[in-house]
Amino acid sequence: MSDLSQSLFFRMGVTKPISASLQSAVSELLGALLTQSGYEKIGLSRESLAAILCDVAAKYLPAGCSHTEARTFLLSLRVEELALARACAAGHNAAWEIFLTRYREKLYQSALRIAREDSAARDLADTLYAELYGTTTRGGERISKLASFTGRGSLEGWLRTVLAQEFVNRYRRTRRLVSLDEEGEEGSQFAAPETEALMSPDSRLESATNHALASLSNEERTVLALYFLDGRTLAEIARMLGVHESTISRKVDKLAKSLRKKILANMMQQGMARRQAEEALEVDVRDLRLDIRRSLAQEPPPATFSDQREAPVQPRTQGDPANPQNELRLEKPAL
Amino acid sequence: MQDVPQFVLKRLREQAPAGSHPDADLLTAFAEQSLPGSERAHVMKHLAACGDCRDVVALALPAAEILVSPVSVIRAQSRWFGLPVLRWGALAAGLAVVISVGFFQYSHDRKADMVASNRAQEAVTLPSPSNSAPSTQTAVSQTDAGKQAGHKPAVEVGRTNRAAGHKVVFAQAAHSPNALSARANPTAATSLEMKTRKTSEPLEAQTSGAVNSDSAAISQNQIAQQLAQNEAQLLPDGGSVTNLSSFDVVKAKDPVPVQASSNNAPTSLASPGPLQTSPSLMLRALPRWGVSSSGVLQRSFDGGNTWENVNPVLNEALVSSHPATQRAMEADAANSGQAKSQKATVPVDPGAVFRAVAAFGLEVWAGGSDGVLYHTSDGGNHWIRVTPSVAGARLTGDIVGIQFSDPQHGKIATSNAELWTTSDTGQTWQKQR
Repeated sequence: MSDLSQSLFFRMGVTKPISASLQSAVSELLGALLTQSGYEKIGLSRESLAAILCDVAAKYLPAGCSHTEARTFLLSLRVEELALARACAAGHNAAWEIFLTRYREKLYQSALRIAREDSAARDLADTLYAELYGTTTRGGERISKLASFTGRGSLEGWLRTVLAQEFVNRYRRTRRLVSLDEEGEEGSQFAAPETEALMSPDSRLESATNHALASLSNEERTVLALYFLDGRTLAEIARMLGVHESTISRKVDKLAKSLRKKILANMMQQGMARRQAEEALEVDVRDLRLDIRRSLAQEPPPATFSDQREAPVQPRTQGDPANPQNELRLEKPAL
Repeated sequence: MQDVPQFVLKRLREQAPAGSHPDADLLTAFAEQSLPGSERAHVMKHLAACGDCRDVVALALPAAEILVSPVSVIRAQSRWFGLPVLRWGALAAGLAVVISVGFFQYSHDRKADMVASNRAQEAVTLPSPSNSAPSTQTAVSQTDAGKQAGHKPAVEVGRTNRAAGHKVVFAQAAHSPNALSARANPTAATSLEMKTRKTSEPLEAQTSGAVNSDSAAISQNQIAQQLAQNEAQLLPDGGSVTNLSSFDVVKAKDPVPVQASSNNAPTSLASPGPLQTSPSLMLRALPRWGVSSSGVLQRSFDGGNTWENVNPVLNEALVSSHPATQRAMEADAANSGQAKSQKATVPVDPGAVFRAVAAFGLEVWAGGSDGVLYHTSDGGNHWIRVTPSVAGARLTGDIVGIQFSDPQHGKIATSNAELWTTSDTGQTWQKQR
């Protein structure tokens, strides 16, 4: 067994050097993993599966990992789905057949749930299909996106994630193309830098806020951002983080309270009176809102989606040179 | 929920994402809670600062778990007279009353028969008594006297149907979560019967005119279909007796005694004319079945022009494995109209995702993701969840194909390359790999 795998590793020419402990773990588990993967049905050989396993392990495991680490890692992989994906990437027909019966419908359904609109969903799913088949040729070689699947999570979940990534990329791209006005609509993203320049918030408030945020754990900051910035529901956050909804609910409430308390305490430490500190926090918020309103008042009201589409036509017919804002808008879509 | 100062949110938003985005594999494993601690912490650190990756994880969440049938069964049993039941029941009852009152007004205008319509309205507005057994007896005696159908078969038919009537009541009491509305529906059924008699127009013309327009018409259709089925089950000998019996079926189920007396009204009792169209009606009422691209089961009563969604998960009959109760459920013609009206008003919940459907007459099999398999033997009004299993092994993969060569023999193909076969309408299964 070990002889076989030694020669294997030699033949494979894996890009990264493989540690001895990983080698031994792979050769120890290869038999069990092979039966688990059903490799024969989908046209994979022992050698190719071993190569895939080493490839994946080398990607995620640190160079100096122990034998047991390598072992638990290999056992945590979804070997059957990994083998299927890689067999598809290698162009085995039997594998493709299985893949399509299992995932074709699911893929379209997931796309529909992500894009929430039929034609966009079809487009999204079709793009991914093209990538899965591997139409991008690099050096005359077809590279399927499935070759990058590593079996850390389920193949179904991976497909959904890839779809979501594509969707987010696209969404950002189109949002930038359309106009800056929308970003103003989205929230303070657009207004914030301006107000900062206008009013320069108290440096003590700033340092206190930074301090308070830094004192939170990554998970706490993620929860805060998910709830307050992204507008996710408690149920969604709970499912993302794998905890109960009520836990998240309590956590958000507690975090918001403690954050406020921490910032106030920190400002008081820096020599502010309690009332002064409270005012700084409140006044700041109120000023921000005032400033947004003021900046909105100066500009024409932010165009809604339907207005936007008509915008290029309007100035032409009206020919209003007195309003430079209109001129500006005429040019934006052309960009 | 406590608010966070906007300034703080701004700071939170302005955090610079640490390092490059984690790959799709890691994000998937993160969402599936299968990352070991150190890697999870790493991804979490990135998520705290990267809105895009947070969006990706949120968008890629699997569809919310569907409440599978066992749960809905339990709920239905425990909430017999719960608020929703009362509410829908009241709605259905109100609907039935309005329709029949409207109809009687209409016929009153046409015939100017004051007495008859008054009686009929009394019949409708009178509260239905809970004991239906005496009424069925009245109905039977009425049949005998009114029709002078002295043939033995007819009497026997009456008896069988009385038994069936008992069964129906039992089935409703034991199984139907909508006991109240179910009671209202025989009235609707009777109004249909009255309509066909009074107007004496060919039934076929009536239905074809009304099929597309309103749900009441479709429920007519369904009732006719149920009648045809009852004929087949209760009276295999056919002939002219069969035609008579389909009237009796309706009457035997009628729990309103005054209704029976209204049969004494001037309207002629024996008018077998319209009934002769019932076989062709039955053929026409056989729906066509399909599955939409999003996995919703659909049927069409007009040859595929219009489709309605059918949700077996909602309409799942609460049936024990006992064949007798099963038959009683099928005889429950009254319920079909009610199921219909409910479907029209309740927003169809996503339910299971269907991939394949096979129909053989009124026997329909529908299967889909995660081994969901439903069977109906009444054209889709009552569904029974079937879980094929052999020697402890259950069908678990997604069902991708169903084929039935006749009502007994069928095959089911799954996504994990299994083939399940049955030769006894799904009572037992064999698995081939």
